[in-house]
Amino acid sequence: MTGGLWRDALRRLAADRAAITGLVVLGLLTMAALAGPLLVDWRQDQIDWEHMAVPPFAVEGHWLGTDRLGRDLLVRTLHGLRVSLAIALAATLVALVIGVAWGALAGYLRGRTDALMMRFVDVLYALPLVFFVIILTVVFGRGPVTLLVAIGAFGWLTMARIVRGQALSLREREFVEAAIVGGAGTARIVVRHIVPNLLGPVIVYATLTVPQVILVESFLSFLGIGIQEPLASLGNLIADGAREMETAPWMLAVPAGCLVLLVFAFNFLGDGLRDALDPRDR
Amino acid sequence: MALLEIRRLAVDFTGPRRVRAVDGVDLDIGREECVAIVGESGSGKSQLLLACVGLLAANGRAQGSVRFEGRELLGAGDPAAAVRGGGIGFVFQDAGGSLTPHLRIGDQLAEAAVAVRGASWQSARADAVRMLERVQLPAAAQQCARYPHELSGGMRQRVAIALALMPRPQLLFADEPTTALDVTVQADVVALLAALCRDLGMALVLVTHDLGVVASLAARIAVMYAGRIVELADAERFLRQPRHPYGAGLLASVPTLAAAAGPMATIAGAPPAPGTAFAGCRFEPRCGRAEARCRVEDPALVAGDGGLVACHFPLDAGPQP
Amino acid sequence: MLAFIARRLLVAIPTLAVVVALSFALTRAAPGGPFDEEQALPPEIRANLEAAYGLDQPAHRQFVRYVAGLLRGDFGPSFRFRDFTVTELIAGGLPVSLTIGLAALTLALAVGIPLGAGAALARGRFLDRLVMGLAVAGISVPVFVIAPFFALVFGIWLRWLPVAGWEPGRATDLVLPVATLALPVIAYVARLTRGSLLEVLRAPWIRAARARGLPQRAVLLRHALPAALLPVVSYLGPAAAAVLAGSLVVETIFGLPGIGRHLVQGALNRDYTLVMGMVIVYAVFMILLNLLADLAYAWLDPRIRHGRRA
Repeated sequence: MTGGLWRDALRRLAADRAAITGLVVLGLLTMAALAGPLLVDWRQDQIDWEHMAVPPFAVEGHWLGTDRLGRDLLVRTLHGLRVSLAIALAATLVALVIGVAWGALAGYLRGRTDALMMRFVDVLYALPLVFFVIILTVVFGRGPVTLLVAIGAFGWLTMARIVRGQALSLREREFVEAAIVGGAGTARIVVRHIVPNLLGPVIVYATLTVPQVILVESFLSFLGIGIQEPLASLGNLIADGAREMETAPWMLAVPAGCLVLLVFAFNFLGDGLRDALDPRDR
Repeated sequence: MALLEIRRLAVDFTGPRRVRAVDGVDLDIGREECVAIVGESGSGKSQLLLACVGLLAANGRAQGSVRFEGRELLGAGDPAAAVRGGGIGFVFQDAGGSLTPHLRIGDQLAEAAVAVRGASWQSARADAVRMLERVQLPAAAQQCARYPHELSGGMRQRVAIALALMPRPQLLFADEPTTALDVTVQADVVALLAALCRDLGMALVLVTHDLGVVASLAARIAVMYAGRIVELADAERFLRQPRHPYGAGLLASVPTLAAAAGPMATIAGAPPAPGTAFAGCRFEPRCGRAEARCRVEDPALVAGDGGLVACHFPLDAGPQP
Repeated sequence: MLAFIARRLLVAIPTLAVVVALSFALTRAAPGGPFDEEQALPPEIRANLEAAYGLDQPAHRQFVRYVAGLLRGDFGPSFRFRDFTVTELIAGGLPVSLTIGLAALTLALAVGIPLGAGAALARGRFLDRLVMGLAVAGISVPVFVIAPFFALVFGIWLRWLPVAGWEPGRATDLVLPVATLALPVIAYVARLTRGSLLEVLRAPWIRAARARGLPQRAVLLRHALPAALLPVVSYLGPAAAAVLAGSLVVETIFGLPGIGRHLVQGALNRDYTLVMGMVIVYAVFMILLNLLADLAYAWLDPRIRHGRRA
């Protein structure tokens, strides 16, 4: 892809209101997750014995209320946001590295190697992945690292398929043929010629992977097999809220609203990027 | 009254830039008449036909007037829908692509008769077999149960023609019906089209950039260049003595056995890019006969010598330049 | 067609084998056994327990025993629910889970396809924007947010439907769980249908069908829609996976006695045989649905039936 195409894509993206809104919301949420906890007077596991289960805006200092243990919901949600974002970005990175390497190699090598590598992906694809992630968390204990490895280990499949398809068609292009004729080695060609040209679809798909990973992480934490108390994650906050929804609906609304906002923002940005980089489908 | 009357037809496409594909075309097609439209790719031949039946792409817009048996086909609410199929049939360039992949050949043929003519399914199925025989598809009855992908390209082309004929149109548009085919079967398909028109009393508009194909077939020839008709003449006269330099160029570039020994004649330069603005004659940049006047004054299509020609300095009798 | 089904079933066998082997290997690789948390277990009782469950034998022996049991439909004993076998636990919950799962999938297709098709035909107009906006919402809002929200609004505040519980034959119990499960799938199906129908409507054979004078309805229903549904059919497998995962949440929140609870509880309790049994049941379900999807695909696309592709 040449510089001009990137400039065009950027211009299309800038004209896409939904995508820009998503980008701005993401920026604000990230800043809030990083800096927010420092600006609130409460720590995430600190108990305010005088204010348990107070609704938002009812008490000075607890702007979004407290849970039934008297912990500040704003600071807990911000911490949850931080955890969710960190795990999602790290797991996406894991998926990205494995998926791009696997797909680029399969698409470049073609033939029987390609068939074998993609058959492996097909088999994994047919498995109910969430359940394997559950098994992994059972086996290796619950916690952020297990979660990250488990999600990353299965999240690369779609990426591998997309990259392979692109690599297959790139392989046929003149500049790759030229590099082969020029005597460049496989590794060098894949790294220097194939991967850089995959950037567009990879960026788009990575952006769309992040919200999926966030959802899987929150899903597992919701079920109690992800992030554990007293550490907050959006998933276990929502699970807490769901248990108290009759008496304290804000405990559900605050983290759920935050999660939905986050996922919306990523999806809008991802859709916008796809339209910008691949304007065919508009 | 002619069967089809095209008046001042213009077709525009909106997009990043506004592009005029057809720019003020007048053309009459008589009953049972065969007219060929020739010209290079991008000269607006296909868009002219698509505009007549209301099948332009979503960003295309047609202006002017097209009347079929006196009924206006352009305007709001897709008035052309009433004549599609039964009035005007259409055979597309990519015949293989014009068959629905997931429906059996026989079902598609019968459906066309049922939906447009109101035939019963039973008679339509019998009709389908007869029509396949008519387009000389071998083992017609068996083909009805097959799917398009099970047929060869040439067979699909014959099926596509049969499909267009099932509603019994009075006029058939054939848009480069042979380009996608093997050279060996091109002549067969053209001969088949001519025979079908004669037998069914159907008028034919044949779009092609292959003058060899039309020589034997068409009564009249319209030469299109950059969205305009630049010459319209009896086929016999045009083939003997083209008057527009572009028409002459096209004719000269037809390979013949006699000329095969020497280098093939071509027209210098390339057709103008879509959306180009013109001050004078559209062909002037490529024309060997151009003079100062051609750069500033757009020649009108005027009558002369058994046809119409849009050229300030048309070719006369005598040897070609 | 029968040969086609047989071929597909044959392909499913290695997949199932991988599932069994992988889950067996993973559970055995786990540090710590199922009896670790029970403190003060005298060594001889512990040894007896392990012997009773065959845990004292070498891993390959255990595996052979387990697979042999599977072939007889025996998933082994549950490590936690001592009085039940895994087969019994699964058999008890399966009807409930199957009912809501299949109902949700059916609902998703029945609603999602018309919505997507409607949006495609109204491209760029209000209906299109509305449906696509809702679709993004449906994809972005996870089941574990929708479920408590629905329970809160329709169950607790409006009191239209029961919040939780299950009595065989009471259809109102199903409404909220099924709607919750179906919603994200509806959103995805609608998006897929819209995109693919728009693409198909640009195909040359659609223009040819219109040029033949076929009425708009026939062009859409007979010529465009079957081709446009191919991506939707391909999505059936992932959709089933989404519904299965969602059922874990939905069964917990709406208090349904399905098998979803067993997986979560089994995972929390390190009840290996139960978790493995669950995963195998889910895998079989997925494989069957994928087979169904393949059949539907072949039915819609004659080229597949004749073995040209795949």
